[in-house]
Amino acid sequence: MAQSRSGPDGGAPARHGAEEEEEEHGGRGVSCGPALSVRVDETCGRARALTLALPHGPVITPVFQPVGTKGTIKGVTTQEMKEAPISCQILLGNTYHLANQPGAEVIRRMGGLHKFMNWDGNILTDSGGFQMVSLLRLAQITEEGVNFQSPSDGTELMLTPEESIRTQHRIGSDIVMMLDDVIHSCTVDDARFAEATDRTIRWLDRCIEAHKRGGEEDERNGFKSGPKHQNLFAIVQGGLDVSPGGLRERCLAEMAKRDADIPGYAIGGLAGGESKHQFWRVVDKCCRHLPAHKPRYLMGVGHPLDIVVCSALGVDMYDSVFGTRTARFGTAFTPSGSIKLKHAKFAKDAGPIAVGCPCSACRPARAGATQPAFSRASLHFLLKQASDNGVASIVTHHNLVYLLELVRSMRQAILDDRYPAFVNDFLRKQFPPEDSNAHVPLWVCEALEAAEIALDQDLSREVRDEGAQPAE
Amino acid sequence: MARKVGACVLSLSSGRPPFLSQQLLQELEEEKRHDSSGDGDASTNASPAALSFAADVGTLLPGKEALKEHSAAHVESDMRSFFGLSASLFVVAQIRSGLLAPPDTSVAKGAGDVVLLSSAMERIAMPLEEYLDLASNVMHADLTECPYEAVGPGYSRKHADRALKRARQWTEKALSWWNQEDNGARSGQQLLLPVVGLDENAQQRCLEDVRKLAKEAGIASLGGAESSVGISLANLRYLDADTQITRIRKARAQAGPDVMLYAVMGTASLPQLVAALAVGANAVETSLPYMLTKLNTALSFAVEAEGPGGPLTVNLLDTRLCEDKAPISAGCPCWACERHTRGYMQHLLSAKELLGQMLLYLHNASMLIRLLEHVRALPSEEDRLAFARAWAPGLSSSLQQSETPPQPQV
Ligand SMILES: [Zn+2]
Ligand SMILES: [Zn+2]
Repeated sequence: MAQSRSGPDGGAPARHGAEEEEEEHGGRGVSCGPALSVRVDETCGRARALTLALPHGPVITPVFQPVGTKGTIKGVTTQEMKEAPISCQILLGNTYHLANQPGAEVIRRMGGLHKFMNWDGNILTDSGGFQMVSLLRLAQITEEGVNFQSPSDGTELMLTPEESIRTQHRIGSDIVMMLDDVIHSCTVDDARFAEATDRTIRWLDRCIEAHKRGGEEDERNGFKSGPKHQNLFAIVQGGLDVSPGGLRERCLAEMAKRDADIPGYAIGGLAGGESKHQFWRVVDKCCRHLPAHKPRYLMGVGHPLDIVVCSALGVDMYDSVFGTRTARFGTAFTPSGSIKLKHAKFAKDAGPIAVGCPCSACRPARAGATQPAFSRASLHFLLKQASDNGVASIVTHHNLVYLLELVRSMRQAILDDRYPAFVNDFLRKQFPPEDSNAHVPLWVCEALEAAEIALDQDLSREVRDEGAQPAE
Repeated sequence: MARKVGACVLSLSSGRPPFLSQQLLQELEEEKRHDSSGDGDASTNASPAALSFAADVGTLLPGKEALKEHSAAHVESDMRSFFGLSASLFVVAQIRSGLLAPPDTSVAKGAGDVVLLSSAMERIAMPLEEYLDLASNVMHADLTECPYEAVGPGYSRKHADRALKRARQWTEKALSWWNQEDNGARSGQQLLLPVVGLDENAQQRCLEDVRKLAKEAGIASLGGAESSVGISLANLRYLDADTQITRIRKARAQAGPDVMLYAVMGTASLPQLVAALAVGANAVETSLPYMLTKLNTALSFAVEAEGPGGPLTVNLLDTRLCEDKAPISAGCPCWACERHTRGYMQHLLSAKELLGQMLLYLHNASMLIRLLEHVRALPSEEDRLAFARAWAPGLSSSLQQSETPPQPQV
């Protein structure tokens, strides 16, 4: 029997009667705003299985959101994304790239991004700020917004919180991200971190205002945007400071005051090269303080191991280009870790990438056949040849199936109240105890301890034997 | 039983159709099956033509060992399954890339050796028999082309003579291998014998040679559904459009109505492909959909007997299309046109997105196959020529009704 204790250990603000709703599973959930209601289907320790009712259909969590940077998942059709075995319910678009090409106004006139790319599932867009700061060397952040030179003609432009929201309204995504003050997580300037945290709060207020005022309903082409049809998510900043009364807590406390206007939260400022030791502590801190009935989205994180561990800490949503980008170069996910298909050892390997994988490469070529549709040998050969033979699509498809099946099996384990056993199984395949070169990383052990998930003896032993001591 | 070769044979890119994901390949196969069964009355042959591809043995050589193992392990399926081409016809194993080599190096010093170019542009020499074994027994190609040497207008008389001589030697050797037990002739596969020749006379001499050699090898007639050999019109790519069409027409007249006539058209234009089928080719091999896709260009026309009535293509990079909500080609039933707009295609292609090329190749292949199947299925030569004249006005001199209908030699 699952515990219905989804509340964090301390300081969760604004519960809105979430606990009453949780008692009746299968109910409609709690409204988090006009365009989102959330049902807590089950919890297992701190891990959660939610159903988000979004404008373009339900999204079950934990969820991995594939990244369709420029209005397409590279090499995969929207039909393939929609249908089994990928069965994607939400994907990402990058505001910065879409605003450059084809332009937000073009997308609006084409009926919004959903119509433009022929995708009837949900879409989340980022604010554009992250790409701007990371791609444009000359971007400068001021109180007004992000100052940058246009990549097309070099003119000075300003991305303000208001402009970011307006652009995302034109795109028509289901989840709109606030413009936050992004700094590299490895920056050492404490004062800059404090400034960024406080500015992010000020920009959140401007985003909330802009979101409330904006949007439209174009009956003619069915395009709808604005607060009734889109959800503005806040982004928790605060660097790596998880100390009591520190920046993360300060940011969380300020956001809690604005909770009525925030349907969901993202954890920002991570996946930027910080140590895993720092990484999990920030995730842990934020999850403990964020409201129980609202979705938590960990931005830019999508390695299978990270997903499994962070869900144990209470994260619901992920995104990353890693799985799709790495696929195009021939790296494929398997339950026992990723493999590089271009490696010579696969040249005559007749097996599938992963046994039992339902993707179009690994499943049997036809009913009753034993060989996979594409063997490792076949993919090896195709990857070594010219790049235009469709092999990038095939491996991308596999990695997407792997990631979405992974989060769905995590959800099932949460629903069955056996998430700890799932985590142990997962780690056992990734780090076989009999392999002396593989052991569960220390940060994983520590994070799982914080999540009160006990590791099997043979999995945790080697780390402990090395004399590594958990910090704190 | 041999499957029916499509009118349009598409060049593969190292074993797979260029750009297509597995899903889109299956959509194209599905559409082809649907189309073929749909116009059964127009076709004289009841069995629908399969989606047909031409593979290049040279580009597959790096995977030779894996291919051999696959082929040995899965006798019940065949080589197509290595590349996920389940419902397609793996038509021609050939050494097309070998022709890229300069004339003096395209043939190795050792007698009977053929030289193939791998996709890494390495020259790999192998005995003719090994090439045939790879194509027929390992790849299970439905049609296997006997190697030949390139000749064209720029080549010396000496070189052309050598090519003719070599074609004769290789044909003789290939036929003898083909007729051995366990080889192609037994399994319903066809061997395509090359007809080379710098000019019409040389082509005619070569065809007579082929007929004679086949007879000596115990093949009574080149034609007929059961024949294990056909003819490949090699080196057409070096000729101007009118000469190409005239050559195909002459070859058909000389070879008789039942002989499989396979025309290697390479990068020929759409009107040339229409004309080639109109004058009697059974199948044309083309890389046109690939070339067009590389140029961000879509075929866009309606299949009308009175001609296309406008330009045949549209450049999808044209920024005026960026808010165009129409499909790539109005009325096209392909998977891409049913789901996506020109505006979206304009965006994908200008952003150099993989999906743009995938959808565009699918559309171009689909349009071209439908048009060429339509030409081939027209009931009479008269109809075909009339259709081709409307579609290829520039080729009208080679598309005139003949004064006396061509008399097939018996
Ligand atoms: Zn797979
Ligand atoms: Zn089409």
